[in-house]
Amino acid sequence: MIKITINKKEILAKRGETVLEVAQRQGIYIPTLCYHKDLVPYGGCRLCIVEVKGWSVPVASCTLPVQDGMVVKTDTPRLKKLRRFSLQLILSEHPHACLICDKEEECVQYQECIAKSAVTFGCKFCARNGDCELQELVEKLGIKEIPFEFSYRNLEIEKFDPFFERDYNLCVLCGRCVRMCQEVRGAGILDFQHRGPETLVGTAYNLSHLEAGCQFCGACVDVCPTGALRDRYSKWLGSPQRSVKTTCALCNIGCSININVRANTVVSSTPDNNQICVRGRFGIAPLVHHPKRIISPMLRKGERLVEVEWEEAFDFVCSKVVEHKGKTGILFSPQLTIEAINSVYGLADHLKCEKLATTSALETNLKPLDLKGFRGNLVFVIVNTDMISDFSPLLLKLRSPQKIKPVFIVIDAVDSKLTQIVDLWLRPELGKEVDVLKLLFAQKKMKNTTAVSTRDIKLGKDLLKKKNIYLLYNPYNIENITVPKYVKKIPLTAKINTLKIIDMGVDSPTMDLLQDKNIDCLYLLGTAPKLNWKYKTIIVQDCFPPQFRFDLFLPTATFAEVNGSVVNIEGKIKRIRKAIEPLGKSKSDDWIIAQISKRLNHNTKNRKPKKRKTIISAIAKTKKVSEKYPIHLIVRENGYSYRGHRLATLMKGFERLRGDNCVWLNNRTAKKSKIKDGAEIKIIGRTLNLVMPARVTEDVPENSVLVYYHPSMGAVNSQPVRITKKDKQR
Amino acid sequence: MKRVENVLREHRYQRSHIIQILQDIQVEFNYLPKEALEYVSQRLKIPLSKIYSIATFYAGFSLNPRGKHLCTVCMGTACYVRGAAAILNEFERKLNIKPGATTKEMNYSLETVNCLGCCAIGPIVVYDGKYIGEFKLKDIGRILKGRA
Repeated sequence: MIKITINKKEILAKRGETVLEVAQRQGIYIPTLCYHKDLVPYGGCRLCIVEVKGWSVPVASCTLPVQDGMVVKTDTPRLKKLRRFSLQLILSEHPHACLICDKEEECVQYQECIAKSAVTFGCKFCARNGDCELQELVEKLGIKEIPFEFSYRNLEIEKFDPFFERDYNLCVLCGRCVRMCQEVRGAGILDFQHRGPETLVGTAYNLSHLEAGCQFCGACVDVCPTGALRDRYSKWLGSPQRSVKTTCALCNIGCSININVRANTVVSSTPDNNQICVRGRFGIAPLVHHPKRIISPMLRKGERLVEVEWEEAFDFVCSKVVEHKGKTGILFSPQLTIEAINSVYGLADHLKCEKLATTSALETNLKPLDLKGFRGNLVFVIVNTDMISDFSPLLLKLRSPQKIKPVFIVIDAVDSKLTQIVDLWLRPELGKEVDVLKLLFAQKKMKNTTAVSTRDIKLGKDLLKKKNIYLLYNPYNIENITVPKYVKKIPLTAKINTLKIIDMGVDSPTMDLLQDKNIDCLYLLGTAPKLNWKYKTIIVQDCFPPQFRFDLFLPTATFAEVNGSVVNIEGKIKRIRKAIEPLGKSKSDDWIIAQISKRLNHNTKNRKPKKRKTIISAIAKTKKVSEKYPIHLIVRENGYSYRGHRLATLMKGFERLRGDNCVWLNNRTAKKSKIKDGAEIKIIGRTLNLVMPARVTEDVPENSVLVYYHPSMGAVNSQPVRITKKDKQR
Repeated sequence: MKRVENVLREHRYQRSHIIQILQDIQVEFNYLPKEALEYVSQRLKIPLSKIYSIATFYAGFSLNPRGKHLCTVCMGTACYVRGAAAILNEFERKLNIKPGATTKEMNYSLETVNCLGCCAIGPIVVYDGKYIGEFKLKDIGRILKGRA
């Protein structure tokens, strides 16, 4: 411990801490702009300058390590003057008219509508008004005027990317977004471009963020002290009145998030001192308030769907369920709360329902992931899983600074953002991923038929030597993985609660349930699979209407509107808290099921649901392509869906970013079959027939197409297919 | 790409050599082609935005193709007072291009520089790496004729 003196107060500090950190811990205010607690100090803005006894000039405290016996002053008239001068210089390039306006208070009554102006030339026109660090600094430093000429950059506002907009006329070049993108996210999409007065934050060659390969995690938006970067959805919804700490249920990581609420509206969702991904940052608010959501019970009467009260809906459910007792199949989404899943099991037991299934990809040997168990010399071998798209917060944790830098090896035939940043990317021929693994771990010489060069295999072998090896893979994307015992297998399932479901057991995988001809009544909780034939009764309990004909729709609340819990990939139980009251007449899943159970005279509370035996259908072995079916279909699990609804079909941004409602096609294959980007194409295989819009890409290997699995496709697995253009409708 | 790979090999794929690598690529291609930068980014695992940032920061790098011959006129204070403005003007008139541009037939590129550090022999023009001190207006015709 070291003793230092700040403003005549003696403080104990740890070696290696900076003066700013010590002062902030003690509650001594030092103004900062470019400093951010998650980032490496930068010393750019010079607002945090302090005087040190014995030093002739003030120094930036964010980059000043504490020394024994240091005597620091943070608040002298000289420092105040210098700080004011620095901020005035910074503000001379930022539209500051409102910041120094003496009529500011009178203006409040007129500001409601002008906030919607297209160009921001003052705080009153800015979406961040009231939540801006510059405003705070101006107030704290007491700036009344700016003696320099205002220079407006007059740049176009960048509105062409999904999720967030950028107005670099407001940027003060603090570099937080740049450092966030490089240091913390490891993406490096942003950097300072050009020099001197022309310096700007931007991507290489001024590409759009989408072209530059941005993940749209929104970390840059969250650290921006100004209104330069802003979330498009929440832009004009007003500043939030409260925020609720909860858990994102969109994937298996279950990140802690804050849902920001104004009145009964979700304005935005932001990370809770952690790193999240695009789904949790930009997906939740538009999902909750999606225009396609149905928020009152709908009953089919004759041909028409009629809005009904809950009572009538429950009567219908009870009568049908009793009528089809033993012939009811229940299919539920893993993205319910644990409480809802428990009550589903209780109801299924009561109905003597032998058919209970879920839409999640499962593996029986699923174990909780132990993040603290990763120690020492680490190598991660990632097979057929795009960790950046599906598990980016987890990947960041794995990459986070350890004593020895972990090594990442990717085995995947499909290119992705992940392959660009890993140490070694082995790109085998399709279906030869397992062979590459065998080669990597082989003791003796083996014949190499994988299209990966022997040199690369040797490189991989060298990287694997004497290290703790972990194999990360999504069990849905690859089958029959065999590795030596010293390699730890870590299956990564994309959907939350899979550990819970494995624990409880399910009777059959989704598709077997839908093949069962004995079922007359389908009860679908948050899934919209492809139905093979007509059922007597279909009850849908969901947020969004399915594509097929149904008899009753029970509107449920999303995870932002209920209390409950979920269990994530680490086996941790995470709380879900109610951020807003359920919209309209929608109710939580557990309430609906409890009401049904009550009417069926079944008490869900005290009884433990019986355990079921999980049967996992074997995935058919990939067959070789033939003349009739010359193209490989690659199917990957889709982590971008909520309750069986693709985020891409619900939100335009996700469609542009990920396009999981499309079929991804190699550009040369597309040229050969004369298919243009965006055209509808047919995919015909031995057992499937799909029509989807095409997206042309270089990421997919030649003579193969990639789709993200969705229950509405029916039973789809990787198989040879042929593709044709969809006939024009006459 | 083979030429870029050779440059990278010479620098033993050292990330810290990025500026020298870019310089060597510029010598190789006379400018920094986009494809070359993308390749360097991929091989060295440096974000493309970072490389672009370096390339736009230093005035010595050019992202646009340059002509066969490069005329650089020093516009530093010492050269300026000795008539660099008139020299630049004459170059602009003769080549019919602005500083930073290249003639249509890709023969000449005209650039300015802020100081070359040899003010004593100003005004200076650098023609294809050759420093011509005490430059006179009539020299323009001479060098353009001599090589054009």
